[in-house]
Amino acid sequence: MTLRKLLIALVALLVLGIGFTFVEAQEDDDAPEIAYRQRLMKGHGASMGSIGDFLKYKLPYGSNHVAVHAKNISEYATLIPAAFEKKIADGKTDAKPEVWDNWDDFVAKANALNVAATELSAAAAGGDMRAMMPNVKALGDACRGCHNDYRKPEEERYPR
Amino acid sequence: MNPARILPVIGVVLAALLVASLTVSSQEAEAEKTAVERGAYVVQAAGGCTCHMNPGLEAFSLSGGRPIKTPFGTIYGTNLTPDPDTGIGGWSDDDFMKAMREGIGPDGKVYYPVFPYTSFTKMTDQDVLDMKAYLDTLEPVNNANKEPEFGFPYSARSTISVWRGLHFDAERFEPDSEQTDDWNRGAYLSEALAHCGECHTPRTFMGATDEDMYYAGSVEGPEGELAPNITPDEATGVGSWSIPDMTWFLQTSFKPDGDDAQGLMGEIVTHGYQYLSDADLKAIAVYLASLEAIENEVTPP
Repeated sequence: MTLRKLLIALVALLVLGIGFTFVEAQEDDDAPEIAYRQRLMKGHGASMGSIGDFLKYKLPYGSNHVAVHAKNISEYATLIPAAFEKKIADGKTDAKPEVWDNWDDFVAKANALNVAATELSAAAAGGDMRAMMPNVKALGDACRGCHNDYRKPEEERYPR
Repeated sequence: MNPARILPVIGVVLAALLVASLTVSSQEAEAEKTAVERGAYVVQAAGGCTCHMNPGLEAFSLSGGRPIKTPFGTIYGTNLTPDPDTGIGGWSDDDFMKAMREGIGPDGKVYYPVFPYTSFTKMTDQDVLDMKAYLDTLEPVNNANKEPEFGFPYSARSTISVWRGLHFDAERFEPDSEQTDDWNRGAYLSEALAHCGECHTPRTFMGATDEDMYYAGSVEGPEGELAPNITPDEATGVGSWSIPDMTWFLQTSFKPDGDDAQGLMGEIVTHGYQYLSDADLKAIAVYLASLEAIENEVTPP
């Protein structure tokens, strides 16, 4: 091997190494934002799970419980656009790059979630469990409507 | 006659009487509904037949054309509207029965088992005919069916005939008299109508469902989707879900942790299962909870 070839190989290795380090560093830098987004989403889920528990077991706490959880979701929804504004599509995230390709639609879907949750909260104030079901389903449509477009399906999610 | 011979006979007669009485009572309750209304419900219990939707139309229509990716190639949902040229307009009741339960079209063509006649074969006469009565009321749409894009040997329809010889038995659902009414209804709904196993049971290299892994989940679901393990295994299945959890999930697509089902499952809840009665959803949950728990972690390949 000539000295020249050796040099090229060394430079190539160096560049690759820097590249990897850069990507890793980038992912580490993004970690707090990713963690925050995921906790915010889990917050939505916790409230939705609580609404589910209340309705499926007909818990005797008064329907204000559903109203409060739905209100939580409507308020969490207002935080989504700011939390996702920075484009982070690599690393331990299941956000699809389409979030930032179709940013206006993504924001519109977060708003739709806010509206659906606000309506469930209002319906829950009435206290009739049966009457809440269409609103619960509409809220499900809002979650799924955004997830189908902007969250990776299970087979593409990052390894846990 | 020797008593050991008579006993099974008595058992069979009692079971038949039980089944007959169940059928009568459910028929009385259903008597007020028309065939079309019952058929709409059968379609919903089958998940809305969304494989047959028309992606070219804004409004939901079962006029076909939807591409479905499978490990064997891409196949297109067919036109279920009563259009005489491209749909099922003009099909007789017998034609429809044969297509649904034997997988053979009026022209004698055998269907690829992507169309789950392997499950629908278990349907009752009444449910199949009600389904047709409903489909006949749909708005006819002219949309020609497309041939599947399968590579050889799957492209040859004779391959299906061989496959059918090995893996298909045209058999109706048989209630189990040792089980409760709920369980039997749930088993019928899951096996014959909702066709859960078509996605949630993994397939052998021959493309047949692997009955040793019944409902234990598949990494090669349609569209490349993961189909989770829905047996009651605690660690890898839905063993931690209560009966109300499963009922609620089928009604809303919300899992116990508040997350929602995406993809095909979300779709069939939206177009189908959410409309089922509380009693029917509970019956499915009871049936699922009774299955053998199989440990099978379904993770991306």
